[in-house]
Amino acid sequence: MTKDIPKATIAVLLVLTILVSIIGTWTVLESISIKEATPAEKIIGKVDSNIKLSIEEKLEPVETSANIRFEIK
Amino acid sequence: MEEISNKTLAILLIAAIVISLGGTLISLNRLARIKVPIVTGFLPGAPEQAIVQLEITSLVQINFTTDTIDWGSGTVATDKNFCVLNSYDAAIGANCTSFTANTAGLVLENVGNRNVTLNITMQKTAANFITGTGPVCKWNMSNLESNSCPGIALTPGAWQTCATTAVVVCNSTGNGFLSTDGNDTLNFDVLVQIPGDAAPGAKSNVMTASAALI
Repeated sequence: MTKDIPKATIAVLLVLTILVSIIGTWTVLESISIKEATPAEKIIGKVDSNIKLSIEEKLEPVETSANIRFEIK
Repeated sequence: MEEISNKTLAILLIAAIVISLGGTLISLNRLARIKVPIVTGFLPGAPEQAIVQLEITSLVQINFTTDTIDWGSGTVATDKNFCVLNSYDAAIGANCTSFTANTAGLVLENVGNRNVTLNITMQKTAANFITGTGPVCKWNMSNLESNSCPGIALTPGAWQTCATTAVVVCNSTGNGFLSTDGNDTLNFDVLVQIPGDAAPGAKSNVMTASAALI
């Protein structure tokens, strides 16, 4: 009959598992924090902007009128 | 060495599971708040173009803000040859009967945003407007707001005969009829002389102001 792995070995492995989990989680969170701190540079990138100025002209000659009136009885 | 009990191992395993799950949940929660470039449509480093359009309208426009002179109805006094009505006296002419006095002339404003030249044309001459023997129809121009017509082509206040041909009032010299607020309003007074033999009935004439860009 094969000798079973000692429980102490299992316990060490478990502790290692916990440490790896903690360290892994901490590393992911640190990575996310870096992304959140610099979103503009990472996402938007270079932007070119154009300003278009359109001038509309209504310059035709115009007329307006007034009335002068009376009545002779 | 005394071996660890199964109970201790179970506790350690549960702790491992809880920590692992907790870390995963926290990670997912934080990741949900991060915008991924593919989702927003913005590609890192890709040029984006924005257009800001600004429209400025340039307008030639004039308007008679007072556009009627109406002396009502009346007659030339008996045994008088004529009576005179004008647009600036509080009383009607001495030889006139029953007409209504007018104390304000026609008011013309440059309501656009460009300086213009200004011409005045009457629809009818005195003969066609009033009829009778020796009728008179005259108008004059003055600045209702100071210096509204620095390009003045007439003597302010000088009477002009009603004519169906255009009379230049403000020319391009000195910038014509201004559009500047506070200096963009002219007054036109009108005077008519009604002969005693003028045909009875309604009389009307039209003053037309024409503006053109300088």
